[in-house]
Amino acid sequence: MSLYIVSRIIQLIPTVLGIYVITFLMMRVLPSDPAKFIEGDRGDAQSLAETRARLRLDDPLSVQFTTFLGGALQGDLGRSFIHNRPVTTMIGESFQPTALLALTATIIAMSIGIPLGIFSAVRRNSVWDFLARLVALIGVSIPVFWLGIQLQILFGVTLKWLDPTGSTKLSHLILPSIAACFGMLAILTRITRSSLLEVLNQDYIRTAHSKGLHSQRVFVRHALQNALLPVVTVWGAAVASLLSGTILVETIFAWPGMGRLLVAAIGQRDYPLVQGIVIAYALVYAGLNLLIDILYPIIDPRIRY
Amino acid sequence: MKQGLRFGLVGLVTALFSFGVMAQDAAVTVAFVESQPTSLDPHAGRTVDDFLVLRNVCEGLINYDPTTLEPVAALAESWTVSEDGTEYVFSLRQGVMFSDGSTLDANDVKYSFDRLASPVTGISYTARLVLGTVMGWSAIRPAAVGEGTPTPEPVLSISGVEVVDESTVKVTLATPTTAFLTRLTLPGGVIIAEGSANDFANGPVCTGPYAVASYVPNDRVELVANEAYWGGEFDVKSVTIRVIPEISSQVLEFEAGSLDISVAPEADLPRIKEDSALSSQLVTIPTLSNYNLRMNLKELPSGDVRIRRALSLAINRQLVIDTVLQGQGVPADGLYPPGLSTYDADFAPFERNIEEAKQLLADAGYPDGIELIVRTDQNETENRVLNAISATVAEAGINLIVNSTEASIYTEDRTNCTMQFGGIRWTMDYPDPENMVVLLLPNAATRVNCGYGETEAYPEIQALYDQGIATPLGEERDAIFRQIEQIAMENVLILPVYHGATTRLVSSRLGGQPLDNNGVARFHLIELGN
Repeated sequence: MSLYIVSRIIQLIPTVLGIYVITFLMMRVLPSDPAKFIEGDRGDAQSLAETRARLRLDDPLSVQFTTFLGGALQGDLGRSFIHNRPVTTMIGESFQPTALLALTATIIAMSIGIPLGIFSAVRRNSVWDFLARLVALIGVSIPVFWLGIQLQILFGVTLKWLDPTGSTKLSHLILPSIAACFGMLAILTRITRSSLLEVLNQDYIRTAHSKGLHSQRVFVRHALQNALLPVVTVWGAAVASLLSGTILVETIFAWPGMGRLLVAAIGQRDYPLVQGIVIAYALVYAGLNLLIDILYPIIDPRIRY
Repeated sequence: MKQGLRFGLVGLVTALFSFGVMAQDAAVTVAFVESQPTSLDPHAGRTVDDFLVLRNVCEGLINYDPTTLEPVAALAESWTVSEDGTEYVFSLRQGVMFSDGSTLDANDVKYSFDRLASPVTGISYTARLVLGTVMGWSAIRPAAVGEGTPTPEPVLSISGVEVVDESTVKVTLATPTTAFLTRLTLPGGVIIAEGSANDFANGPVCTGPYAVASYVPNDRVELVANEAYWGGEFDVKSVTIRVIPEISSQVLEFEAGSLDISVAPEADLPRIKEDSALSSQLVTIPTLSNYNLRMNLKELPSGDVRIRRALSLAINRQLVIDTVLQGQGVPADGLYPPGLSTYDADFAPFERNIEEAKQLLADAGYPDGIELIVRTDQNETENRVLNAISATVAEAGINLIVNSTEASIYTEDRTNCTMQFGGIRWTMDYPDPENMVVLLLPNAATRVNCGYGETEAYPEIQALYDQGIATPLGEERDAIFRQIEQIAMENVLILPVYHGATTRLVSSRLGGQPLDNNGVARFHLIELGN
């Protein structure tokens, strides 16, 4: 097992390197020049040249590539073109709020979505099942920006229970995490339901019943545990997408997260910041996948590494 | 993930115990206008949001009057100008303290201007506007830098700024510049304490009414009253400026009562105006601006003055203002907005005339109409304006296609002038007509590439401009700038559309002058009633 983890971590190196190469090239292929964007309508030949020189955009691509890479290996991701601050600092500041939001949304989504899915599968085709599926369908279909604004209007303006935006109080976490968790909640409900239904039809469940086991025990030990495997897979993907997918939520609720930073950085052609954030995301994704792979054999002993 | 979890838990715990300070009477909460500051370094700042902080924390030798916008004494108590207009001697105000407790003297002024002049530190575009005509500038910033130039070494001293004695500074200009005092009011012209430049994570060390108490990037800037401020007492003791990039969220925060000043986007104006509580708090301030179209003067069809004139004559400017802009703004028929001494309400070269527009198109070889393309970024207001223009010019047989792309792509194409027409949101850097005339001059890459230096009218415009910037304020100077406007509109070198306005929601609890006539919130001018 530990050998497996070590080998997985070694595999990370080419992955992250590949992601860096692609990000580096894609940013340079985009048809616009960061210096021109910064100088805007007022830049003349001289100020453009000064800016290009300051940002080291005149260096050959190979030099730009190795300079950033060399720095990155020593934990220095360069300085943002727009903000002129170290990228590592900026990522550090914005990762925490994003992680906090993603974590809270995940907890809410799991604590509602999985029980709802189980309930729905057990009471298959009942009115409750229908309602749960309806909730799931709505959750998948509602655009998050619409939901976010509705939550702000209802709780912030009409009822005045919560601030519409902010990030200084614990209560500020409530609205954005509800908005962010909705999609994941819906997916978890649907996956739990369908996976449990499939397991409940398996022969070994019938066997367990026929050997006289208590139906509660059959359900928890035999059905639920087996049904959870796809749920974990989806959960990992959902957490990962939450980490990057909270961009809209972060924008609407003025949540100082990493997604918002990335979108702005791409628009402004802030090469070092984009490269840094993408690498950070790559590491988080890889870490999450590793975690899930480690969880598999614990949930399902048939899986061995 | 472990790291993430730990960060998350730390955050959760921190959040639990860091409940925000309850709103106090002497505290005001506002939001940044566009998104967030890019830098709190006065010599690097270049956006509206940078300037919002700088205007409240720092001061220059000269400031502008919040109502008349005219230059008034700030850190310079008085000054003299030599006969030929090239030597300015400033006497500094006595006993002014920086927020770190040190006392202002002439060396701080020298230090600040040297830092603004140096290529590596003075990266704000305001550097050229403030110091561009000061002696020694061209030695520090060579007139032209060829390709592949290495990083310019910082040159530490601009020769035109000299310390005479502890409280006197002499500035020598290379050419007389009438608007020099007005240019000094730009945020780049502010004075920071000597040797205080660092990463500006805690804001600059300045002499203004406020100091930066904390700066949480992506989230907020907190200001506290500068106890050492020389300008006397004021009501608002602390200010929170929040980063709320989504404007509609700003409006909701205002409605919820937790923002004192919010941007009021055009799209929300109908709703705001219907709501009596909100509409009474709506404040509109005309901005010294000109929304106009730039064109490629080197290539057809936009290179043909008849086609430019036809397009301009076909636009129903008033309709665009009444519908899209909800009445915020006035039609632009020339360069200068109302509020400048050169503005002439009777100057109307582009009164709508469909027949003449059609005739001009026919003369230019397009009797059956023409297809033109205008480029823009994704600014919502601008797109709505251009689409409305497109609808009004259709009557003259002009099919105006609005091509809107991501801002950085539009900037690239506009700089290279790979376009026919392009939208320009020009807000004046400082209130002087010369700052509007630059829209006609080949002193920016975009206008060089669009051929602004190659037109028949250009030599005359440049000569008049050179004459105008050196002429003392008054009728004669205004006449020169009006003549430039006349020539520019005859040749349709820019296609003016409207002079805009700043609309904000300002809480009724804020008295005094929360927004100056430049549309900037200056918090020490706010009066809080009982």
